[in-house]
Amino acid sequence: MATYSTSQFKPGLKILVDGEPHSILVNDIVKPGKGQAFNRIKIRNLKNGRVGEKTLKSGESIEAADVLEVELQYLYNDGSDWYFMDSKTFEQVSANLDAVGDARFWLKGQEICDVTLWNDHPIVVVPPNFVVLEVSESDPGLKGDTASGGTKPAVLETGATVKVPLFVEQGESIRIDTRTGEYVSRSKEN
Amino acid sequence: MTQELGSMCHVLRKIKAHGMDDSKSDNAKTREVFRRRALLLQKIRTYFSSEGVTEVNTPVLSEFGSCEPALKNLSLNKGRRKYLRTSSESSLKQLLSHNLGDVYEIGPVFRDEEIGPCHLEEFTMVEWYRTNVELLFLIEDVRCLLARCGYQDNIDITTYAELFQNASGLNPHNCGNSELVSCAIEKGVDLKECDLNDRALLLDAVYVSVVEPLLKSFSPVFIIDYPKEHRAYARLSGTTETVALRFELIINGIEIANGYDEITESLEQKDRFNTENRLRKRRGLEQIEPDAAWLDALSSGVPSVCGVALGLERLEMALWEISDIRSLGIKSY
Repeated sequence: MATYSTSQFKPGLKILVDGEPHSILVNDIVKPGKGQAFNRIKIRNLKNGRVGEKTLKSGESIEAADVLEVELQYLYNDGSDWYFMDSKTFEQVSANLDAVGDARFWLKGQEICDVTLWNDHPIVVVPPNFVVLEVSESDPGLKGDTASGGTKPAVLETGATVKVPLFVEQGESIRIDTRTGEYVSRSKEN
Repeated sequence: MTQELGSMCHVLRKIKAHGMDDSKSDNAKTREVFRRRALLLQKIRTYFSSEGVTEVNTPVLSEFGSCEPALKNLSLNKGRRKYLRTSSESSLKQLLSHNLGDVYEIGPVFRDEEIGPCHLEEFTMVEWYRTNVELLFLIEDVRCLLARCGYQDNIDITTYAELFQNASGLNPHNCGNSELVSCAIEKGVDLKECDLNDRALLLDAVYVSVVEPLLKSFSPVFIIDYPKEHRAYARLSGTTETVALRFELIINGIEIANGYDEITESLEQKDRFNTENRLRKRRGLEQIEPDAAWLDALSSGVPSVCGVALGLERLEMALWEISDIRSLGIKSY
């Protein structure tokens, strides 16, 4: 079991707190005059993104989290798990719904994702910033209404629903910003 | 001929000046840091001179380390072990026993492993002693020195208990250890590896998690009347002896100075060293031989005295609104 001493603390270090992997965001040494020094750290839970604080006596140690960030290619899902592959070693890993989260709305196959592995299991999947997906369902927009800036809902091939301009038609491919979940433009691909 | 030489020097100076690459803003910054420092030191010396306080220089190397559990000594192991001083306190007290009157020293002090935005392993301490005065006199003294250095803000005075109680709801002088423990744990302090009977440590745990975060938003303040667990080398007050005659000056949440109504009884001081070594043992730290020269000085007689140590670089942080103390040195490339 690897551990880190408080003197090794720095932003980005991955540690185990209450059994969950966390990343150190800020490390402050607080020392009351004539008193014991403490390390006050701001940490982010890598599984749920929650940010918290923790204070430890300087000189103590904390368990290291075996966390790795890798680029993996999304292959398919079997209804319960999502499968990813390392394109160099062809090794495959499966990720559950907790890990894939909202990324599932943007993945249809082949995308290269940033995957956080904890003890070799995916805990977070981040899709590419932009993806191109086909509109599988959308009501026809009003004829001629291309300048009013109005929007309508559209269901994509992955099942996600996004707001699109009225001129976007069923069967067209559109570009989505996965960070905001918003329509960017029509795509020339396809 | 002299005229020729003069103009020659002028040309040479020009050439030299030209050789320095002023496009590097680091050069300008470093020059600014050191020019400002020189002016500040002048002001401090002028103040003490006008107050009749004598400047002294004492050795940086000492046969004795500091027993303070919170400090890590830096030492040299060439032949007999020598310590780099953590403050000038011992030497200055030895001088006090020679009836030198009020004294001050400006010089480097060392604390191992203290590195960060507010900490340097080697920093400059301004330490001075005022004989036959009360602690409040010394607080006013610090105020006057800061004003002389160009510090304009008003500085309040508050007690440690008031700060602590307002922030945590606990009275630091008489609340139970278990109350300190639950307060600290609630604020996210990990006490798993800590001795829960170490009251000084528990007070610190609550202080860093509850009080210290508030101080950053406070106006500058002198904190007075520390709990006896944090007396360090200060005398205790009154008959109940629950409060230590000690103060700290805090500006922008950072400790700038720390002062005591000093212990002048040799036996009491020896007892403090022994207590500190016991605490060191409990915390798994190295034992440090009590400073015999310090104790001898007190035995031979030291007048009633108040003393304060002020971090020069910390003062500069307050004066020039500097957020990282490491920017106040020669930049290492």
